[in-house]
Amino acid sequence: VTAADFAPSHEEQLLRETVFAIAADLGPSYYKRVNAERRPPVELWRALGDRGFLGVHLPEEYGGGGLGLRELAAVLEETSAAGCPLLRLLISPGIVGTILARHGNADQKARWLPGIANASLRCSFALTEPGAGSNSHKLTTLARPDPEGDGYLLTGQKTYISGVEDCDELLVVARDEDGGLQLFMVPPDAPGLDRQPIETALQEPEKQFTLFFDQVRVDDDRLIRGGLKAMFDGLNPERILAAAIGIGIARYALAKACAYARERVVWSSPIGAHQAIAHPLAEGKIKLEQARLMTEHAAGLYDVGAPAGEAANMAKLAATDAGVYCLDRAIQTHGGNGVALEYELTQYWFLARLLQIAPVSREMVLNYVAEHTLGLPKSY
Amino acid sequence: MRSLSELAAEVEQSGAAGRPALSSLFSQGVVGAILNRHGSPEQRRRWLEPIERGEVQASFAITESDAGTNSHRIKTRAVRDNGGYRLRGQKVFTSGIEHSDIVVVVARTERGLSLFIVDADTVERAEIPTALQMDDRQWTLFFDDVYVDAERLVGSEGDGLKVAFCGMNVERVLTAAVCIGIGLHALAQVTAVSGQAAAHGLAEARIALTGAQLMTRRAAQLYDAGLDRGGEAANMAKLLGSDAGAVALSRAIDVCGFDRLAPYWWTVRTLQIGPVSREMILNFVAERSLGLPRSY
Repeated sequence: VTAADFAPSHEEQLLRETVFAIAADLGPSYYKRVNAERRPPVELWRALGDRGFLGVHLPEEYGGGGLGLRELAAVLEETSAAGCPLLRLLISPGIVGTILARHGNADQKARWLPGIANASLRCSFALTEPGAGSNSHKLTTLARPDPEGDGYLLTGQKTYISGVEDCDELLVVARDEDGGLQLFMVPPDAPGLDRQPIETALQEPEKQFTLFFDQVRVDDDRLIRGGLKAMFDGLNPERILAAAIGIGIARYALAKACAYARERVVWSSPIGAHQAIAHPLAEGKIKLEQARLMTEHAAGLYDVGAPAGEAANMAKLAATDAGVYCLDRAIQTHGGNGVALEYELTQYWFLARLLQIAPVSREMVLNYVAEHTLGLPKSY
Repeated sequence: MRSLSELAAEVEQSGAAGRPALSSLFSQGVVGAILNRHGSPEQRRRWLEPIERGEVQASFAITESDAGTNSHRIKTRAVRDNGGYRLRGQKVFTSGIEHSDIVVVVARTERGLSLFIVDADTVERAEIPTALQMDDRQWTLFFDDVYVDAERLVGSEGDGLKVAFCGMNVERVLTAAVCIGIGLHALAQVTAVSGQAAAHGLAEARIALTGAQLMTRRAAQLYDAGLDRGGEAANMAKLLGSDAGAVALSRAIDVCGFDRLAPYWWTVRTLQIGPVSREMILNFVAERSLGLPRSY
């Protein structure tokens, strides 16, 4: 056993350093600017895509890097740690790319994966419905065969769908006539598909939408086979990648807080020499390192094809809690400056906070652990 | 010689089975590690191998009433005499001496701190009454010119701080392991709960135990590989493990009542304080991991 067994591989270290450098070159001020201008972070997206970082986990024959979810999680962590957390990364390569790579047929993979990998194709994922929340049994968007040809007609409503404003394809979960769930790639400008933005407090490039499907026709070569299993194959990566964003935000916040605490002198010594300031930051560091081990563990299980649901849920809770905790303590460490926009902390607050709610809420994670890990009776 | 990873797994198992092997922390853990890394071939043959086999029990005496966590204030002295040393001073909160054959004592010598293997039956002692309900009792030890041969010195004279820290990082890892084990044992007592208020408290505790397990395993692997830089992972594991164990036990008591679980309470609560306090771990992480200025 050597140090190399515990550190990231040389390859992963290089990947991390390069991604961090690309994102840090634009950095928190860029992130703040694109959000203020309400435009997508095209420059960052292209810079990552041009170097192949969006497809690190996708098969090489379709333009990917042939690595695993662990490496994609590293990309999300590093961009977040550099002050540029992107939900789009989690959704387009993370969920949609993963589902297509595992369940798409050869034509579908050839059609969509290279674009996802090189950033020319941006995908969104439409699962949540107003009447369903976390309960996928209550999804009602219906896909029935088109009576006038080979294809399907989708009717229903989706809500809190991220990034529809500039997506090229939407992966939609709908119920077939037998009651099973099916996945469809739908062009966002398909006739009969309308959208309405939802105003939120998020300061994040991707906007949120409610989508209305009124007999939206989808060709049958856009049906991704695999149903419920395919959908779940996208949800564990989503949790692990949400954890990676939480860890990245925690790193960003701690680095800023520590730099400030080392410099800022109000009485005779820097404020970081006061335990009331230092100990909460140290607790944050320990939460961060714990969450990192849990997230690596979950990604490792996923990448070898082992059951990863429990580990992914636990990592998601620990890491998104660590993100909120560290960001909150960083704001507190900065005193009044913590809320000054110049210090570039508050701009991540609602994203960090959202990650405790979505893609799966803290409460649903705890229900899962109570039931599956502790063997307690189902409570809902 | 078992690795720390193996020993930590055994210690966790003992806790999970409801019979926490606390004496392993000091005997096979601290003293075993010290003799393994720093003992002479003769010391290893005479004491380490029997300790490994469980034939010899060892205690570890470092804490003093005026020193607390500050080893620079240790006052027990070992003065050269007649080719050996005479030990004079007092130690507090030494665990389990009543079962022990030897006790490894940290004392001040001419050049810094040094460690000595002392036969337990040569040491005067007085029990410290505590709330702890465990096999090992707590003791004050009195060294009134206790004579030891030179061959009882572990490592070189003056190297004691380095030698002791090797054992203390092991102690931190094993403390985490025993607390995690007790936490798992406590959660296993819960068979039914009503309502998410209780269930979610237990589930949060279970997640914390899982996170602490990963950190403890990592710390043990790093120690086994000789790569635990200054004990960062061991310190983090100790804080996470003892916190998670205490929370799990507390939440399980909320649901199951005190009857079966009360005996573990003061053990776990004490292990949040010793062998190194939460506060000293946070000082360590603030300074070493985050580069913040020293606060004390």
